[in-house]
Amino acid sequence: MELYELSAKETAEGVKSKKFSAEDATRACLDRIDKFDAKVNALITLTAEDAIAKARAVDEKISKGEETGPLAGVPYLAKDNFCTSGVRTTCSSKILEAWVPTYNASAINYMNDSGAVLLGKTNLDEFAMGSSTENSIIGPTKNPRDMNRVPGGSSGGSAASVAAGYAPLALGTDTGGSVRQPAAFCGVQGMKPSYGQVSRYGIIAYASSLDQVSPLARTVEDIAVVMESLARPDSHDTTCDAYDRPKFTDAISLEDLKGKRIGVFEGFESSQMDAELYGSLRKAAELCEASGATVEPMDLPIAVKYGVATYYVTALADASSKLACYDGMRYGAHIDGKSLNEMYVNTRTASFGEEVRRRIILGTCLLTEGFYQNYYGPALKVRQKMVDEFDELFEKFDAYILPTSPSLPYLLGMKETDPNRLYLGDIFTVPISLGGLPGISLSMGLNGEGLPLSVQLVGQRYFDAELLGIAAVLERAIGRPAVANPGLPGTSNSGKGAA
Amino acid sequence: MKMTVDREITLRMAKAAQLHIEPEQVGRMMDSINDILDFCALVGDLDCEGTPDFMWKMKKLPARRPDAPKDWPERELFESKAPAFEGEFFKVPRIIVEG
Repeated sequence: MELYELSAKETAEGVKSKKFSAEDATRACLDRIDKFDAKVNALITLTAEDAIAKARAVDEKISKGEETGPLAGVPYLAKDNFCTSGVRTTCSSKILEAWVPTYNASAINYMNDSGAVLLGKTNLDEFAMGSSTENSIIGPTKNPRDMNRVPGGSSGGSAASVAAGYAPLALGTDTGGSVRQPAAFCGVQGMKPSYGQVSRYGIIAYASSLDQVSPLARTVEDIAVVMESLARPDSHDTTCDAYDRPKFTDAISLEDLKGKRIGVFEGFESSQMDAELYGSLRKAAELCEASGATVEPMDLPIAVKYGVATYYVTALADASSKLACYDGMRYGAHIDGKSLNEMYVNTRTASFGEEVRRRIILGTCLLTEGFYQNYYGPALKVRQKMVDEFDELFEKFDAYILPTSPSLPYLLGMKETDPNRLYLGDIFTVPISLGGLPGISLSMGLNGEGLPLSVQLVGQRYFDAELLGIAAVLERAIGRPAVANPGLPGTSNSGKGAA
Repeated sequence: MKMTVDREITLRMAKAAQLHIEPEQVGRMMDSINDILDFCALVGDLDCEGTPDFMWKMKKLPARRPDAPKDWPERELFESKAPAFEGEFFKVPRIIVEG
């Protein structure tokens, strides 16, 4: 096995035992980026020199017998909406195109403390508003499993990077499915933790009541290892819970699903989604049953019917407030005007992309007199009804299995003109975000055309460790995803496949 | 209750958001907003009588940092990030204009 194919855990073990150096592992990943990224376009900024320096520092610590952390010498990438001190952070927007933060996001500090090596920053839809990673200042990212297709979004650059072997790990953010859906489209594992599990400090916000730092990897075990580094209290983020987290890596030693009660979603007509993805859902249910779980059908009538509408009202209102801070004055782009207001308008109009401008105007509308009473107020109540629906079902089940997306990755440039239909692509991910629940998009292998199949596992809020345990059992039955060779023949999963 | 916007409201919302819409693009923006408002009106259909507004619950609230002033030794670094800075201040156009 080549170094770039190793998991994060295998890489850290190899570095610590001096089978190879952190510099070797880093250079192997940088070579993959050099070989493929001109075509895949997953990276906005490459920090190769800093990465080599950090890797050498890890190697030096090891040679001196010093403590290096659980991710010693493990290369990783971060979505370009994580603040990185001294490294530009664009959020794929003209308004931050040249902005270099003066501080690190807490998640970046935690990865550094764990010994991980940052290779660069990945592409996303501008301000994380989108689900195809086509809406970016550097142009679209391509799906390494099929270069004619989108990688999903908004963390499409991170998902494509992990699939293409640029790094065993990447960080993304998930607001309404922005890590789970690209993980599903690129055939890797992606987890949105419970809301409050990981600090959002230093993340450029889209919708603060929904955004969560979310890891992507090629194994469930790696997700657990990263969660152990990321999930901790942080006084810089008042929404980051101060409770004592369980040991996530202990949970994945679960051997089988005996005694587990798993609900399998049956509230959507099979004709309303891709047949092979529906087959993956059935296959996952069979695997759970074969592993000793009690499996029963379940439905989420409120979440499925009202989830997307509730999500858009909530997220757009959040976004219009958060993005008001881009005023052309304190940081970012600046375009002069004859008055203060004209300067604001000139800067924001020229520097935000069309989709971002549309969402800000809509969010502003939803928070004004009349619209607030008819949209935002009711959405707050519907959101609570959805949480009640989830809570009631968790009295019967330990976890649910849902689709991640109703469709396979679609072709690049197939921009959906009807926004309502486009948003329905998020139908299975946004309710989980609104409820603050942990969700894992689990790879179920590839179909006959080499396109990734997936399911979504959902757990009770704060039961992230237990959910990782269930995912680990299923992954052992399915096989872990292999690295893709973008544009080359022979791209396939080592997994046994499904559906 | 389902609501819609017209050209005037669309322009008013853009102004409140500190954004400009070219005259020829107002119609498209208005239609797009109305499509979403039409879809999102669903949130008014569910009977939520007696349901409280959603609020996040936490297991343990984070410790608060002391509410006290502190030095910012990096002040010059922050100032250097401003697109226009003069002396000790962010440089902005006139706030009050004649006429």
